[in-house]
Amino acid sequence: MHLRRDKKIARRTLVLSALIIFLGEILAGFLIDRAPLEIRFPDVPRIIGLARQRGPSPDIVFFGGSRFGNLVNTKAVEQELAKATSNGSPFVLNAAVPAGDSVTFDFVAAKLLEAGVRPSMAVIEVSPETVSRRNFLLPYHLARQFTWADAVKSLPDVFYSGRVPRLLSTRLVTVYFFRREFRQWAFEASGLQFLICCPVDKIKRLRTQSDADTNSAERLVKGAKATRSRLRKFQIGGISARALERLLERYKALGITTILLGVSISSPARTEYVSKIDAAFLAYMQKLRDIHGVFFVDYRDRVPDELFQTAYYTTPQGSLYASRLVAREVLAPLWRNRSAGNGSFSSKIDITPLSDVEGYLYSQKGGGSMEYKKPEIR
Amino acid sequence: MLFHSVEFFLLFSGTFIGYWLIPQHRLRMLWLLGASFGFYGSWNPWLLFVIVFSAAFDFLIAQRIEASASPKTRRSLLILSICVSLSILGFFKYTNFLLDSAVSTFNLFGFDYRHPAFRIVLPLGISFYTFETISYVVDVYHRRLRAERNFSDYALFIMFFPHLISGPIIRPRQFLVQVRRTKRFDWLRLEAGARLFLLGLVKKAVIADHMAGIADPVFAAPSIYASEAVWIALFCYTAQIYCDFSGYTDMAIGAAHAFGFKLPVNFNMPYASASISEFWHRWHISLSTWLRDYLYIPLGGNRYGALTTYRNLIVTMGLAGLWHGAGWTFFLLGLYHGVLLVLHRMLPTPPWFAHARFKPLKILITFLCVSLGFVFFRSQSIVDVGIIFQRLFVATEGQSLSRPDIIVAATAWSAILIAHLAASFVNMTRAWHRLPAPAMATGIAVVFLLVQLLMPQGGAFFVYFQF
Repeated sequence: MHLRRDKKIARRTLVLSALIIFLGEILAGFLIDRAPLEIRFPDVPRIIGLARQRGPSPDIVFFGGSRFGNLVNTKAVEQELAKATSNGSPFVLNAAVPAGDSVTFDFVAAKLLEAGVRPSMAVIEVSPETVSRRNFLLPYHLARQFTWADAVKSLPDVFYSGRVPRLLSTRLVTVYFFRREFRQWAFEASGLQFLICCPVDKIKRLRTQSDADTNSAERLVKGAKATRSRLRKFQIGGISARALERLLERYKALGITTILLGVSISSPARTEYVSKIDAAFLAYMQKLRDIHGVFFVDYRDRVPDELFQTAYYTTPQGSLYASRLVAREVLAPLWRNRSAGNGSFSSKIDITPLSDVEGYLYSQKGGGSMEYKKPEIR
Repeated sequence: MLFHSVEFFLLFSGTFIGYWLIPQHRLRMLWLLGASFGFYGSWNPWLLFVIVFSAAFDFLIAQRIEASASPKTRRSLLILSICVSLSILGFFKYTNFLLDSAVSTFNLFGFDYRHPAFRIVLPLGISFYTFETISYVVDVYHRRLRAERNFSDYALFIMFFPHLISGPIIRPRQFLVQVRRTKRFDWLRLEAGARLFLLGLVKKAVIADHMAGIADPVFAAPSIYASEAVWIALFCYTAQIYCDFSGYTDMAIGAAHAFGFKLPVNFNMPYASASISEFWHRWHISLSTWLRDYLYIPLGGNRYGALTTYRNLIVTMGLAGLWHGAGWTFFLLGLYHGVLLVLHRMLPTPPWFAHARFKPLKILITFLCVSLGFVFFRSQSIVDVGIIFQRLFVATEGQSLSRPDIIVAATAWSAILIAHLAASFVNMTRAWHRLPAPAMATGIAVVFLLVQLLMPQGGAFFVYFQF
């Protein structure tokens, strides 16, 4: 290798290039903060599109993460509500996004309101994980929605959640981190959308197909172990709790009936909600009820394990079952009351036994506990 | 820990800062050795035992060889050392291959024999460091080199992390001298290293990884693709393997510069070769020269007539093929190149064909021969080799590649072609040095930012990591 003689020029070149790279990364951060939602968080425009599909605003919106995305069957909810009430079928929207928690719900709700979407009723997914100060979904928030200002504001929580490397990646190696988004943006702006498909992405898809072969019982237990790590250093507060309270406050001001729904998970995952965590969570829910006048219904243990395909995700049958259950037990009485001009909600819900929910029977026993029976296969 | 990963960046940065902050040379070398342990251990800490055992064994044997006056003892020790090194390599790399081959042979003759599947983890870089330890012991045996007395220096020669996984295969004479020499921080060297690293990054992360995305699906299921798709995939793989491997080497050489070490050049525009012989002088130079010095010449080279030369070429290239991977496709690859080299020697070149105007044609023929050889290299089985050759030479209908794939392939090949042409006619380093510092800095920064932007999601491993 031929080396130049002037060391000063070499030093200046390297120092200057490092400086330009650093400035480039910082500027890229400001640029990505101004990227359209279609580029950075495409789920939100998709949800806004869905919300506008059947009129100006949906009547009931479910805000949740992938668990709600999997659990809530909007058609089943609509059918149940149509059956239970006499004034037609309400428009139900599932605004769940993958890897979503209170921070995401608040963001999605704000964007929906900005777009003029104002539901009458909102159901929000809650669980100890979604209100924990140690936010395990912070990496997604940093990638999808946080701006420079958000990143600075959330610094204490980033430290507490141990996500400093992720923060540094998103803000100091911005071009690399958001390369797919920048490419997509550039291609779309220049009319070269057909080049967006990235060859390596295809391989990734091929590789992940084999994941589906894993045994479902194994996945149930394996997934439950994740709950323990997510609840490590459990403490309610931080950006998750702040976002949830902001959302409740906003909806209260707009007169939107809000229900906090303790999302159903499998029993192996539930065992990680130890009494200390559970007590703190329930106390916080009580506090939210008192302050914001919202409803809280705990459905964490209402779906049997055989209706789960993983620790957190129900089977299609489980989704149908849970959706009908929530619709009948929670939404129908509320919707009836609301339609009758009475916004109040009785804490004593009238549970009507379902005779047959996709082949699953259950009968109500004294004390409200359920007994599930598997039907005979004919 | 890939070179183009954040983990490597952190390890490299930490090692680099610590290295130049340590005032004493010996401590610096130990620091570098520690970082190399960390780098290798990050893949699989248990495999550190294998590499340390291999290094320690040859370190001690070399000293015994040097100390011994008896030619018989010296020879026995040399054979012992080579046998142990090759046994370790053989066990980890070829056990399943040999057992599978034995089973196939038994089954062919009607014996229903099965063997349990051994789940043997292949230690990264074992093929590379085995060759390095062999060359060290052989050099000591031939008294071309004094046996090293300091184990940490010797261990650094084997484990120096920039070249540990995929070479270049360094010779002890080249490296051990550098380990003993006190290093001084040099901005010139650092700048040259940064440029080389960046060049390697462009080759690997931008070109090779995108090419992999086009070639991999076709080679995974060649029977569903049309002939033209298979041709395009083959050329994509030809680009991928070059950019992947030479990119790794460039990054290794660049990273070594940052610590004041110089590693040998491993690639010299191989696709501009006008003959297969020239190709092997330009492709994986450290391997081809190793094979020449430690296998081809000891076998007799070209000293004993044409037939012996042909045999030596076939044997050397056949073993080189097997060195690349434990599979019959790799052996066929070696034989293919051996036959090409023999044909190149056998067939007389007409005088009119030696004219310069035929050079582009020669380059094209060589390129096609080399590309076809990569069918053996990339195919997953001999059956696939057959399918691919059938698709290549018999027009067959099937699935085509998408428009973006074809555009990406054409863009990458254009870039490679322009780079080869530019490097053939212009001294790039000199042209670069004529630029003022701000222009050079902007160039480096813009290329670095563009590399980040163009890297595909989920970049692929280095192809040569499996060897």
